[in-house]
Amino acid sequence: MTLRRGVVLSAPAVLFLLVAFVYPFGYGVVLSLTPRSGGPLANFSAFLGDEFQRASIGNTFALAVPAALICVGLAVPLAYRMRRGIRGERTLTALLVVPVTLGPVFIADAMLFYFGPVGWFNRVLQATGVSSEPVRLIHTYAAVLLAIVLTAFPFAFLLLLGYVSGIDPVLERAAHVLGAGPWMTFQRVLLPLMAPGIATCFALTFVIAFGVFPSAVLLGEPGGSTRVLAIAAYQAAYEKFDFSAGSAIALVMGFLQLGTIGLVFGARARLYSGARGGKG
Amino acid sequence: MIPPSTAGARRPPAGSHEPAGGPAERLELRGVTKRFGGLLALDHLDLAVEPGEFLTLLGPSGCGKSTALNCIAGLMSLSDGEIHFGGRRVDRTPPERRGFGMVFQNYALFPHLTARRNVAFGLEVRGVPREEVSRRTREALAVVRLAAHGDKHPAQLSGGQQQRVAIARALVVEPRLLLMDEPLSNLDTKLRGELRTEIKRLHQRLGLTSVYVTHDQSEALSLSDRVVVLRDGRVQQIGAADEVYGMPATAFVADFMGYRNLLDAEVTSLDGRSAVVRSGDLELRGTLMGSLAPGARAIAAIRPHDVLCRRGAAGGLRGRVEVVEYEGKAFAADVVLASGLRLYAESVDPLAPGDEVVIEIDPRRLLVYAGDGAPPS
Repeated sequence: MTLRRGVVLSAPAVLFLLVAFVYPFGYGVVLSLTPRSGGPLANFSAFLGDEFQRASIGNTFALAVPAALICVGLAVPLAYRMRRGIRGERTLTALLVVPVTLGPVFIADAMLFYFGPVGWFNRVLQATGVSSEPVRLIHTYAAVLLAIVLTAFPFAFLLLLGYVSGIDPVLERAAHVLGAGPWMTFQRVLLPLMAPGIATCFALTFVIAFGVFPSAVLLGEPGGSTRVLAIAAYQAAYEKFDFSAGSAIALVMGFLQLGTIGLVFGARARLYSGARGGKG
Repeated sequence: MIPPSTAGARRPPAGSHEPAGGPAERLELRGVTKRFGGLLALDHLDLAVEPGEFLTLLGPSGCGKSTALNCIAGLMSLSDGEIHFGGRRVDRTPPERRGFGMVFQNYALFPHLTARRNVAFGLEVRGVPREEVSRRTREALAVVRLAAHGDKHPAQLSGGQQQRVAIARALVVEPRLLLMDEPLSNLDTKLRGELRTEIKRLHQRLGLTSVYVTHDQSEALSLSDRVVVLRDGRVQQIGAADEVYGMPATAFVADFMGYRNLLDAEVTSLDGRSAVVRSGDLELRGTLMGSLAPGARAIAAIRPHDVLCRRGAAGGLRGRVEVVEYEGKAFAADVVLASGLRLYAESVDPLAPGDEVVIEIDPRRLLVYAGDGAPPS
């Protein structure tokens, strides 16, 4: 009886997973293992054997890791500062969330105009004499990194804010009375308690950044420093019309992401991962 | 961890506040005031805690007792007034530099650290050498009888064990002053009693100057040298435990100290400190608390314990039992007098609802307060 009910109740979720994830994923795996020519792993060896193609792995990590670190690095102090609420918190939160609603293409477009050779930013630089010529800000690695941070930061911040404000404030008071100043309290009490949240936050922003595509194309150097894995996969599938090779690159991308997240959570598990205090 | 010079019974007799030998580290609150927006949480609190004394701040929720403790700890800034400790003004000193110990209602143990690391925390942040940290931590855990549980995380310990870890954590730094904020309120009755004895034992043994906050009068009476009863941020009474219990200064304190019978009355005659009051058609003799003139409104207060009733129809005050509660040693009875007046009484003999009883009130135990003040809740 219980078993039957379990089956019935989980059926919609299982069905959804089968249709939306398991089948497409399996299809992609099979596709990647049946290349146009050569053995089953020919796509992978071709991709990894080609220096230009292989560089996309490094390019992707070079964007995703700093982006995730910057997001976490900004979100931790801000969330810490706002853990007990501040004046104008709702306005600030709303402002921070706006980039999420705009989408990467809109942000890229805005940045193209704002930071472009005749954009406001360069005009101010020239008018104030900081620079005599327009500075190249777009179509660079930095522009892509900035765009990713703008998009991913709100997720990181909201996630951590929820996490930090869940830590019982009495723990901080206890640490103070025991002789720990604000910095030591942060270091020895809050940071360890935030560690699981920080790991999740890092993983989330890393995944967002790892799959970057529109910003890398619109704001970066899609043939050079920002030729990320997603661009490589896209070019294989839609410019060379080799879906099998495209699937293989997408799989490489997936495994690299899983591997990184695995490392992060592995490291997190070695730290504290438990309750966050409170009544008990 | 345990200074041998102060080991042994060093509890000063109740009501005596002779400074203990050595450096007199006296805590003094002068006009301490705390406002939250328009709300006055503490109104010019003046208080002195003598070295080695165990003082309790007692009152209902919202009376300002926890606010006062947080001000002493430095976790809250004062709106006005000064706090002095050991002859120095400390109210501008951040909590981490006051050298006090504090125990919280919900234990406030660091969940990511084991019991041992929790206890060691205060020593580690002070930069105490590693061997000394481990020795003192071990001793402190032994004092609260948790030597075998050092490697457990708080979540693996019971509520009582967690609070004992918290006590060890506060004691291990040899605080100059120990603050306790309702440390027993989250525990069940049996554990509460045990830990109360434990706290008393530790105080007798270590002689630490202690300020304790509670809303539980029996806790306050059993632990304290002196009790401060607070109401709406103001002191109602400061006195030795037996004074506050036996001679509550106001009707509010009486109410808090278990005087369940608080009767609206009028003073009919006075003779020194002895007063006769009338409440409805009931004439009662009692002890005057404060100054009252004949004809004044008054509140007559008496404990159920001092209203004795026995079954029978002969005698002065007669009533009918409505509710009986068995309390182990005696029966608590809710008695309605012929006049309609309701009294909480006690009887050593079994009673049943509907019984006709005769009531006797001990005039020495009936206290008469001014009735124009804020009436008891």
